[in-house]
Amino acid sequence: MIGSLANIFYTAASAQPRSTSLQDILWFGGRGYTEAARQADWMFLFIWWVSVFFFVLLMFLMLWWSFIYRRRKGKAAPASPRHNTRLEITWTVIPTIIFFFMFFEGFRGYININFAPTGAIEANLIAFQWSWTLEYPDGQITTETAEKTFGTLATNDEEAFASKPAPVWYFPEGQPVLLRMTSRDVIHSFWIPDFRVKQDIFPNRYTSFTFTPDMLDETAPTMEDEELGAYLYRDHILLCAEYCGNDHAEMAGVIRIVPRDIYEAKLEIFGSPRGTLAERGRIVSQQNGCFSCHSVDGSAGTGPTWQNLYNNSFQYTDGSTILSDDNHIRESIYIPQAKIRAGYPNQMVSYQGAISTEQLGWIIAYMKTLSEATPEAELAATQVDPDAEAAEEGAEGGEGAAEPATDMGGMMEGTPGDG
Amino acid sequence: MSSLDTHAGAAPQLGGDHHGSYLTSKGGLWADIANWATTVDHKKIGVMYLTALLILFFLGGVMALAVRFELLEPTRIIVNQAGETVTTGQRLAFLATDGATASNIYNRAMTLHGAIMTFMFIVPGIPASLGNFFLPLMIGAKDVAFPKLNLGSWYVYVFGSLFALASALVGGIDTGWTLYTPYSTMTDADHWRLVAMVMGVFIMGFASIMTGLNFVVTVHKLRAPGMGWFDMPLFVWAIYATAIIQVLATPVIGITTLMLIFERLFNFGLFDPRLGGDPVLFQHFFWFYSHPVVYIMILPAFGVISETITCHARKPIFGYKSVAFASLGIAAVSFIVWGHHMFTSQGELTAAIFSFLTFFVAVPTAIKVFNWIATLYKGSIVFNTPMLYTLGFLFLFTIGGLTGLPLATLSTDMHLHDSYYVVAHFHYVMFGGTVIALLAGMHHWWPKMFGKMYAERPAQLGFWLVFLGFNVTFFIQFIMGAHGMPRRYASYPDEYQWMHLISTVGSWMLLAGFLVHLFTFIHSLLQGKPAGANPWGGLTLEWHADSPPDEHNFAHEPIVKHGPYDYDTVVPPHCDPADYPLPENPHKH
Repeated sequence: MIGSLANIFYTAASAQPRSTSLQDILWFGGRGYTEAARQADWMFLFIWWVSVFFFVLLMFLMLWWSFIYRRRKGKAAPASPRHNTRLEITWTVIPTIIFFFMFFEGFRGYININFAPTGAIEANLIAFQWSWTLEYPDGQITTETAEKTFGTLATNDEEAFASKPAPVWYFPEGQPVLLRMTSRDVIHSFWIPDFRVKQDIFPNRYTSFTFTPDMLDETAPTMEDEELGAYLYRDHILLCAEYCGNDHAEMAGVIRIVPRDIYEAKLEIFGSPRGTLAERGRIVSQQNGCFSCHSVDGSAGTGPTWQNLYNNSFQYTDGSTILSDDNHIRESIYIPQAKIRAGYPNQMVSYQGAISTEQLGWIIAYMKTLSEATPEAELAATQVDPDAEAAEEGAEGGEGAAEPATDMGGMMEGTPGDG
Repeated sequence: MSSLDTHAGAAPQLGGDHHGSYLTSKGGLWADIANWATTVDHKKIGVMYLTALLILFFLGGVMALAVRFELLEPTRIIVNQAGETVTTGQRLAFLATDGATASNIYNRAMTLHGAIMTFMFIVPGIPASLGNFFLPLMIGAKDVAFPKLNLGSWYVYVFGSLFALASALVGGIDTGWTLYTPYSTMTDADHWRLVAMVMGVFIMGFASIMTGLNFVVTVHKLRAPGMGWFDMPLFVWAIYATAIIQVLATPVIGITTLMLIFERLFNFGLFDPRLGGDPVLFQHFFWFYSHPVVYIMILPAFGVISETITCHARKPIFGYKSVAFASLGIAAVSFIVWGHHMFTSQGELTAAIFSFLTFFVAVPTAIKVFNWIATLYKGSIVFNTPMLYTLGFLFLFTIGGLTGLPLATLSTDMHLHDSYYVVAHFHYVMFGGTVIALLAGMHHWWPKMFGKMYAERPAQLGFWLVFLGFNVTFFIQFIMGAHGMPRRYASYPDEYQWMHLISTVGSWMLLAGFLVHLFTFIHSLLQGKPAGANPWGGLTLEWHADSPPDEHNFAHEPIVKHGPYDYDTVVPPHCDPADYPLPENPHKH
């Protein structure tokens, strides 16, 4: 117990806060990265200093009077007025005026936060338990994840990661963005602390979220990219701020602000998935948020792990034992409530319509690579030439890796993002 | 100079019709149990409420400690030196059964903490315990207007709590105490856990309505002869304003919880978007009750502070009428500000209107703080435990109030909403306000309730542990929230760990402080020195009664001849004038 506590103190001390200066602590949370954020910061600091002034004044009077008027035996409290109308009116009117000002300024800032300038990039965001999908205007979906979203920390020569991978969304610097947001299940809330804004996301209506990130400046780090070379970027964490169930705390993402040409190059890449079938399966799984419930390394989650899942038998809540073959996996993704693995909640929603037949084949190929029980694991991973044209590969790969899926499918349309 | 026309002369409480203290045994354990279980004496009911409340406060506190324990570390996936992948930081995982994860356990603990503390502890809180005991005494009445209804409310409250705790025993729910739809209608395969919890809230609502109704009638009808409205102690004003809110607002949570149950069991489609319902409608219903309820929690605390600060500073309250009317004003405005819990989930115009209205609550609240601090001016201030808690209240509640301003302001609330900043803010108001005031009141009235003194020095140690522990636990959460830490997270980014660590250590200090208080209270009951009828020199009517009070409170109906705070003109009852010198030229009011 003591050793474990000591370890916690050690780890906490080695985690690097994003901002450490007093200025940053008084500030909301370090520097704001939009015009609206700076306006909110100004407002917060104004309220902060007004509050500090009144707090210090009141506490000084309280402590000072408590001290000089402390009880002395046999000595009466001196007579003093029981009320003073002029004083009471003063201390009613002054706060009222200050409050009016706060309301008015806060409302002005709020209007600036809520209305998008013309010419914004309009993207759709779909939230679900416990991740989100963002579709760019032409239907692309990001293929990148940030497992180290929140920074790594070295502890006793071990490397630690935040537990779940989060999607990375690219946007160009200085460009207004308008997100049209809706939810597939419960209420979520979209919060980018660096921009000082959050907006709830509802299952029965659209809400919008707008921001215009600052241009990249000299504080921006450089990204070394094998394909695109070196470029400047800036990451902003986003989080779900409305409690949405078991893995609420894992619902995160990264907004990566890059130069416009990099943004366009990235969209090009997202528009045409490449790599082996298994690699594509991993990307599609990520895009659909599978990993927010299913781990791939055997660790516990809301859903069963994918490690050693394929071609192994498991116990189900109805008492049966079922082999996780291609057909069973297909059923579990399209009709998840049909059979529930013993010890797990009936929580998954159907991905019929969200994952196409073609993509399903990729996911199964990916699952095979996670399972030691399949000798063809390596085979599946190397079956397709990674340099081949993406568009041609779809049908061919589907046949090779996931025959039953293609046999039974056909009514599903691929999502716009699958190229 | 006594305020009582005692009819019978010098020692009214020892007159011929003396029944003995309300604590006097009826002979034998079973007789006593039967007597307490069927009593209609407001004092016994007050003590029974206090006991039940403290048990539930303990349970809610255990949940809070569990929550803080889980948050010592975030969940991390670590590749260790042996190359193995290990998940760390899931500290509550040892409680998990059948496939539940640590976050699952955390979510249920967090929900239970919120549900127990709000619905079962702090809402009935001061009115049901101290209010029940002292409201009739302070207005010179023998009992409340409807004594049987009063006993009924206690049974309803206990029954409702058992219902809700039964839900916890079979696994609990993980919706958060706010029960937002559609999560609350979709989650958790087991309907009955949710229904039991929601039914518990529904049932406890009736206890709240019964108490409120009782107090409104009592204040209107049972004031002693000579006690006009503006001769009432401010605690009575505060309880009266609270009672009005209890009667008017509680039916809304009743109907809301029923709708939620129907939605859950029979798919009514009021809130579920798949059936054409609107989840935001639930939030409106919920906060239409749950915002006024914030004032059900805090107004009685204001009342306690008005009593303790005058008594222990031996000063008339500064601006009696503005404090009294501020209570009523807050009660009135509390009904039209519910939308400020929903700035991120409603349209711009509604948000603007609710933001504007919210600042109107801030004004009377600020006035009260100014009045209390002005009361200290030229006082005769003693630093005993009730007074330390009173000053502690002013310190913490002022922080709680001021940090509410950025939440009422639209542009800043967009950032702070649903973050730890909000958690810190409402703990400063609810804990730093109500719980600290309850502790002030308990120490202030303990000698009256049980006729025994508590040990002063250990109690002051308890105060410092609670006060410092509270600040260590919660102040850091303002910073954490402003830096982007959302609430209700079982895990979190690494950069917040040092702040969570401070907060968790603070929660252990709080635990230590409460254990000290538990010790001093039990010690007082067993071995406390007898308290005189008026150990602090209080002027309100309860100090005229014996300690512990006679079964019928007063031997004769008191006739009020002085105001509750005439400390500059009246020597307190049962007190030696030599110990309570009066100023030469008192101001007339």
